[in-house]
Amino acid sequence: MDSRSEAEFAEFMRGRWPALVRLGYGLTGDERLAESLARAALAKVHASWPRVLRAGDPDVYLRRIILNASLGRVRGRRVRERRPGDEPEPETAPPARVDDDRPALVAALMRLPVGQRSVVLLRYWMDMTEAQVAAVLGCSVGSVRSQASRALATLRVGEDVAEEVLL
Amino acid sequence: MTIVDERDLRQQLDGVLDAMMPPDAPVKAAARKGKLIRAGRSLGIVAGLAVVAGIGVGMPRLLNQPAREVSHARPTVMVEQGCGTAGGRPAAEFAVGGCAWLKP
Repeated sequence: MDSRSEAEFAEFMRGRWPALVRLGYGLTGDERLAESLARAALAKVHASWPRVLRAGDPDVYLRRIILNASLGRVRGRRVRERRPGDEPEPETAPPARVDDDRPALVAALMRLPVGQRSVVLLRYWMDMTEAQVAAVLGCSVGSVRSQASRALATLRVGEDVAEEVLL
Repeated sequence: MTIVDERDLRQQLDGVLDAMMPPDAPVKAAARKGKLIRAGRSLGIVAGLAVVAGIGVGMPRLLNQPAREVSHARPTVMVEQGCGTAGGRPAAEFAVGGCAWLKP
């Protein structure tokens, strides 16, 4: 890469970094892991920078990388933890610990399957349209709609359950 | 935590995620790692091309190897008279060119 491309990449990275780390935090519930995912995603973008620029929308590529990395992390953990004959587990983070000091919303997000979590973050935090979310996740608009609906229902039910436990 | 509807979820997500203050962007580290990834890819391409070239050079040599010459000398056939088929044993033993065909 020439110095002009390097400067373009540096500017792109500085502009996207905070939102990317926040997205990573929403996906993983862990600040350090979020930074690590964001750093790895930007390194991959740097490695393909001229091609990414030619493709036209580096943001879509960047988000796809971090979402895939998050999904891959969950799948990798599931494969490592599963023994032969075990029932498959949903793609959710481990349950919140008793001493969990994460905000309640982040803890609730971690109880969602990673696909629904991704839809919630892209749709409701990044304000993307259903079509844009579908493009980033590589699925249909109908699938985005149903995942968003299920996630909202789960978050509401989760809240009811939490209140019942407290009462 | 109370989530009423989509608008409420948006506001709560904004409140939690936008409050997070990430450190400065590690531009140099990301660029360094990006260069390593690109170098690894180039190495992979070179290795792949080397394998293809190796197959391209080696395969015709393997396929075009001349066949071993067949000996046209008449083999010596020896037949030893056996002791009949009693007890399931063969009636005779053969040897062609010094190699036994059948052993009891």
